[in-house]
Amino acid sequence: MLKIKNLRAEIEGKEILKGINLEINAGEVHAIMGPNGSGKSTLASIIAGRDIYTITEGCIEFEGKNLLDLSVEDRSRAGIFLAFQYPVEIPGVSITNFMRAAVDEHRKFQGLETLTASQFLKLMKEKKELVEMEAKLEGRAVNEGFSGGEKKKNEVFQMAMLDPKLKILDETDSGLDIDALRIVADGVNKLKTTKNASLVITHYQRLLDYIVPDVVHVLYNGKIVKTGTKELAMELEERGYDWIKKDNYTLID
Amino acid sequence: MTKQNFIELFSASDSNISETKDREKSLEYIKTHELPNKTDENWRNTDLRTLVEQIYFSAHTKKNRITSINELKINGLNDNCLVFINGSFQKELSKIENEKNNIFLGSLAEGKKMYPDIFNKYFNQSEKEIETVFTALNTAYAQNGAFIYVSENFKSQKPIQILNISDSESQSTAYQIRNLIILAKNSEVNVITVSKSLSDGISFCNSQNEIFLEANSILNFNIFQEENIETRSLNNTRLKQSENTQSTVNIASLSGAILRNDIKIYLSGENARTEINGIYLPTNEQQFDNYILIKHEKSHGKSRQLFKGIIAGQARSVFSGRVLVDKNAQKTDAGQLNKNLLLTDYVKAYSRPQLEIYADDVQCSHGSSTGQIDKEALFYLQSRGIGEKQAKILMLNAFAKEVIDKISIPEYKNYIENLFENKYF
Ligand SMILES: Nc1ncnc2c1ncn2[C@@H]1O[C@H](COP(=O)(O)OP(=O)(O)OP(=O)(O)O)[C@@H](O)[C@H]1O
Ligand SMILES: [Mg+2]
Repeated sequence: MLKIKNLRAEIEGKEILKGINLEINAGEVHAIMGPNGSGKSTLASIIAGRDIYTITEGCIEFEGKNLLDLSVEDRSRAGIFLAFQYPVEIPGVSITNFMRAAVDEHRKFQGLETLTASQFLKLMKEKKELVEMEAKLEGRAVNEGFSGGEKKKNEVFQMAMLDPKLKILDETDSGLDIDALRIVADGVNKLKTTKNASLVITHYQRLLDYIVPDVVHVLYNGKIVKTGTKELAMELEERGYDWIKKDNYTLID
Repeated sequence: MTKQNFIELFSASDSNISETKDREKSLEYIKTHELPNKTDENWRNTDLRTLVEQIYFSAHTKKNRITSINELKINGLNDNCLVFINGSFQKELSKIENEKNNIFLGSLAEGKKMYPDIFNKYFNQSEKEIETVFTALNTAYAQNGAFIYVSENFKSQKPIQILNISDSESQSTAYQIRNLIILAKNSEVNVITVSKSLSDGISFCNSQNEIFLEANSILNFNIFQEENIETRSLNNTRLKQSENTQSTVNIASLSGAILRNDIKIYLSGENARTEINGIYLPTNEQQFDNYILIKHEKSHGKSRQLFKGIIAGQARSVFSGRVLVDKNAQKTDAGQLNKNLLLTDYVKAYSRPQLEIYADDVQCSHGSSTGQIDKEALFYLQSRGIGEKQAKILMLNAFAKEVIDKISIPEYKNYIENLFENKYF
């Protein structure tokens, strides 16, 4: 589904991704772990189409298409969804209007008829229940004044509304209390099919107890320096990143 | 044109409003003053060259040119409507149903004839000192305009629409408008002034509103400006409020070449309150300016200003909000906020809050912000599949909503919302 080959990217002349290779197939769950500042969110943003980074080398393919040729909105319509590490507040834009516009565009792209008002509200209700999002958030502006946890739930709610093929979760677990973590993880699991895939960025093994990964990668200093099974996540939880940093000492410029 | 040209032009209209002494005083002022220009603090950021350098002709009214105003007025309102074309009253196009004789609606010329006492008591009483050559010209040669008198204790149900149409097909036209609105004690009224163009030609409208609120009255006053891109419009509005009065002024500036609103609100009685809101949307090379003065003259007054601009193309805008609190206006509560959203790198938005406070027990706040569309928010919206244009429209709507929501006449609010949707992109 997603193929990243030798991806190098920089911002303001500073290289952040230094040759990333990653392949994700339908039905798979991949986890990316790695110390702060290693480039995890940068990778996620580039897949979603953020244009502040310059791609200096490599390519990204999504279902055989060159992803880098697509606009941000077309990537979303094609089935890519990023749950942001830091969701942005959009003053004055209500969640309902926002989701209405997004769902309409997705359906138009898929050649489907637009939902009637009542169909749309039913969909909203269903997906809200999935993440147990409180009704009081409905009338509010997107993320405005939301608590950290509410913002994260709102991301997963949007993900459920748009039912993407590739779900990227960038530290969706951080800021969630224990109950919320379980609810959100359950929500993500319910969306899982053999046709879609997930890329889960996290610092904590705990999330991976709920969303069980098929593959775990360690991103360090702009490169994937280790790939393994879910046991690798446990090892990191116990030992930290020092041993990885030492192993890759020579990689640091 | 020189001020002499303007005198010749406006004196040619069949002016029959001003008293001789007012006219003479105005002419005396004009003799000793220049047309407003950049050396004048209040006109520094308003480029009047395209207004002044143009040659205008006096407006000849073609009475039968239009038979219906349905395309021009705000429809769907159960209203009364006074229609003016190039400043002259169109009785047959107007709709006047005097509500049980509790309200007089008509032209200023009629009003002067029918209610000379009221006319003399209020006409030209809002301006203590003449402000500019343009206000002097308006007083000297006021042609016509609307006259609204709401009698004591009457709460008018129907909004009144004052439709001011510019028509300048064959040659550039200049004309003046003078509206006089009086709310007697304990009365209430809703007014919408609507400025529109009938053709694409150049026109200049020098208009003046004098509004008086006697004790305990409530006014909702709306200014809607959507004229052709060649229209130059100077709108001078003065409100004088007695004790326990409440005014709400909502301004929407959508189109025109130069639109300048000078609004002065005198809170001359205790516990007088005003709320003034504005949305201005200049694009291309348009210049939309709002100069607001709120003068707190007595205690326990309250004023609020909320102005938001979306400045596109190479447009210019000025928001100048001056709050003056006299020394005996204790317990004044004044607030002011101006926000500008700049859509390109070529626009200029001036924002000048000015507070002058001579009383010691007052509460005043002001704020001003100028920014561009939040790129991160735009990315966020796009990342959910919303196209760039649509995403921007969502954000612009959200920005303007706070001001548009202040409009209390539902049909009018609806009308603006629809226009707004179609204005961008
Ligand atoms: N817009 C930017 N301008 C300058 N530097 C940036 C920008 N975005 C990211 N960086 C830098 O790129 C590096 C990688 O950042 P990134 O956010 O991808 O890390 P991360 O792995 O997600 O870290 P964390 O675990 O803290 O979320 C950091 O050194 C960061 O400072
Ligand atoms: Mg990150």
